[in-house]
Amino acid sequence: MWLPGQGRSRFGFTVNYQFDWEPILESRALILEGLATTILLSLCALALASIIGVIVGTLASSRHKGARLGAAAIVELTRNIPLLIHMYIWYVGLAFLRLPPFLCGVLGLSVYSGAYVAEIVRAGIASVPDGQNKAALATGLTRLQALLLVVYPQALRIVAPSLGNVFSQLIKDSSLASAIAVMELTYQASAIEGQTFRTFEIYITICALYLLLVSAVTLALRLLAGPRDDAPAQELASA
Amino acid sequence: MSKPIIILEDVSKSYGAVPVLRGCSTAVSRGEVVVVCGPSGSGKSTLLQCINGLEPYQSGSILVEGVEVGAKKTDLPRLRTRIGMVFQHFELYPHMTALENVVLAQVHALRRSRKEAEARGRRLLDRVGLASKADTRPGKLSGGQQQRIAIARALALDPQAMLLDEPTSALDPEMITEVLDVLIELADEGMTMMVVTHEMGFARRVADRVIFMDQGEIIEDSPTKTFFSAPVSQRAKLFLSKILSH
Repeated sequence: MWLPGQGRSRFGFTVNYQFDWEPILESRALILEGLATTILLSLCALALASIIGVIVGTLASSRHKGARLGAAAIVELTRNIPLLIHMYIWYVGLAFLRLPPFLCGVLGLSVYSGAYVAEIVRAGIASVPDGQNKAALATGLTRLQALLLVVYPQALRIVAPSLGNVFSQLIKDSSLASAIAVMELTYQASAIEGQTFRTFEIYITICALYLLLVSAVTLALRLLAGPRDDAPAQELASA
Repeated sequence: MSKPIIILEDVSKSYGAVPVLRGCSTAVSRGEVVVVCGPSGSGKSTLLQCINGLEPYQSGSILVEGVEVGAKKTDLPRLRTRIGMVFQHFELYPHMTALENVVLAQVHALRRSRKEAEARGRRLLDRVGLASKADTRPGKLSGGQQQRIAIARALALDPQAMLLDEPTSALDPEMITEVLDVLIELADEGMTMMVVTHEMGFARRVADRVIFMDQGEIIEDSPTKTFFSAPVSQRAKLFLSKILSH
């Protein structure tokens, strides 16, 4: 059956949809607001997840068994609980704290992602030869100085790609904060969808925005890690 | 020879049930060069690493300039700035240039100004013949060059003594001399050194004493001449015959 205004595909089924971008353009203020919230949410969670990850990951590489066990427990506990539950814990479970949704989103995201960062940090520290730490200590640097000046910089270069993965995952995961009423990109999209019924248009739009955001962060991290021109050092040293 | 700068008394250490050092006692006086040799796994490197607190020991006592290394209240970072250490595998920081390697601890451990540290770093790089490599990363340098920079890095702290853990055994033969030359010069200037090495020619030339270790024990501790001409123990004789036979 053929009605005007309907497209008919070559494959025989009707495509009962006409794109109309006008309502999207009209809601651009909301979309941009959502995008700004997503960026802010991701940046806050990224910073906090990095702090949690570095601390827990360093404890996991400690010589002290207690510290290692504690770190392992934290990682397993947080990593094996779904992110949505993390958000509910802060928003619903700890409702008496009356934390604003945005903060609940940041906490849920960063505790969850922090566990993944911790695992990467631990692996990164393990990949720096022990002799490097010993050499730094032997010149009179403190343990903290040896970590900050000698071990971390080398570990960062090695784990930068994996960190990039976690960080881009984190940005995408931030969409789950819409479930606890954080008015970020996905929340705004579903609100706009509800008002305009322009389902495809709005979700295509936010897909493009997520894609842009994640690519930008990945690229920035790659540039930050710098050229890996020190790689031959290990080969020469072991030759 | 003045009073000892390093004193070991009955030092023992084990990894779990495996003993690695058994009742080691010796002393190194200011200006003395002591070569430590022995078969692999005899505890030479561990002994050296105990002296600057990189490895803990379970019993006995190690005094460096009168300070007990193993005591809880000992400020190990401070103590370590008094003793330079050189490793078998150089352990230069690969993410830094040669100069930065030499500057790092001067600035962060000794709190020297960057300007002063760099001036001193350049002088030391010049001294080991690598002034032109100041801005090069270790990865682009040969093993011999890397080890000479590692020596400069240790010297930058004006140490009272140097511990060298097989400084030439990771090097290609043609690079050994350039490193030994630097060490011979250091010895001639009166630097106190403990060197774990199998370079017996070097030992004969610069060592005042030779310590021979086997299975975690100090078997012989004698003046260089005596050690090479008339080793007392059977094990030292066997060891010498093995490494001097070719």
